[in-house]
Amino acid sequence: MSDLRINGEAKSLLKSVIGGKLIKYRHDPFTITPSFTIQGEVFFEDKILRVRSEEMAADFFEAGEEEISALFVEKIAEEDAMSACIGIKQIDFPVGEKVKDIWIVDEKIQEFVDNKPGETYDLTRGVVFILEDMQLGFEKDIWLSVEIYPHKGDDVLKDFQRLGADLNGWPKGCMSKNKRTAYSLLDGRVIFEEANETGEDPLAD
Amino acid sequence: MGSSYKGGTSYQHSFRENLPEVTADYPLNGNHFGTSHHGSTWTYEIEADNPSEAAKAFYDKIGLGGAFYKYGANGLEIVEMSDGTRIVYRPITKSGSPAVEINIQKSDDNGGVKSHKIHFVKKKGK
Repeated sequence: MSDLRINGEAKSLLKSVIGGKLIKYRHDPFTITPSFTIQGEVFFEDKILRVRSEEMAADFFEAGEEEISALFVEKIAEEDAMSACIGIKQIDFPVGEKVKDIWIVDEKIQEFVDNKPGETYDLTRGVVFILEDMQLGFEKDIWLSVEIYPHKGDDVLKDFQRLGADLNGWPKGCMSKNKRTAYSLLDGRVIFEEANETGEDPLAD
Repeated sequence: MGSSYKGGTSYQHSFRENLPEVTADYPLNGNHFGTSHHGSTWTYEIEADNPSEAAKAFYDKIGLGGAFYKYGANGLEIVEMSDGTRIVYRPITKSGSPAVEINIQKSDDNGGVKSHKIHFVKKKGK
C-alpha cells in the first residue's frame, strides 16, 4: 500500500492559518489549461505556504517503484516564492479574506486485476481554503502530472476532476474502486464523500 | 522569456500532427507507446541501446512545435500542444530511467492515445 497523503507537518501548518487572513495567492500565468506547474504560493499575514506537486516514488500496483505525483504544503521564505519554470514571472491574485476552515480532499484507490484485489494507494487530491465569502481550492492533476488546478467559487469541490479520472484507458481485466473524502481540518468532520468504480477501456489493447 | 515553440517552428503544432513522424520509428501499441513496464498497467517502456538519447529523440519528435517550458529541477521540460496535450520530458527520474509522459486529459484531439508514461530502458540481454 502506498500513502501519498499530505503529512502531519503540512496539516499543522495549514491549521495554523485558520482564523488568520489569506492575503493573496500567486502562481504561473495560465497557458492552455487553467493550471500552474509544480508550485504556487499562498500568502498569509505571518507566513507564506507553498502548494507543490512533485513526483514521488511509490510501490505501485505490483510494478515495483514508480513515480506518482503527490501534493505537498510547506512553509517558505519570501525570496523562494517564485515559479519553478525558468523565465516565467508569477501573477498575484489578491484575496484579503479570513480563513474560516480548511478542507483536505483525500482519495483511496484500490486496483483489481481479473477480479483479484491488487494494490491500494491513498493520496491527497486537494486543499480547499474556506474563506468568508468564497472558497479557494488547489487540486492536484492526474498521477503523471505535476499540474495544479486552482479553483475559486462557492462550491469548488464540484470543479474537481471526476473521481477516477486518473485512470483512463485501463487494459482488459483491470478496474479500480475509488473513494474521495473531503474533511474539515478544524473539527475533523466529513464534508463530502463519493465512491465509484473505473472499469476497463473497451478500446484498450 | 517564457515559452517559444520547441524546435523553432513558426506555429504551435497539435499532438496529432506529430504522430506520423513519431510512429514511423515507434509504432503505437494499441493506445500507447511501448510495452508494459514491470507489469504495470499505467507505465510502459521502450528498449534502446542508449536510453538517454532515445528518450530525447522521442521527445524531440513528439513535442515538436509545442509551447516550450524549461524547469530547473533535473532538466524537466514541458511542452504544450495546441490541442491541450502536455508532453513532459524527464531526463532524470526517481526510478533511474529517462521518461516521457503524455498527458491527454485536457486534449480535444488525442489521436487515439491515452495518458501514459514511457520509460526508456537499456535493451535486455544484449
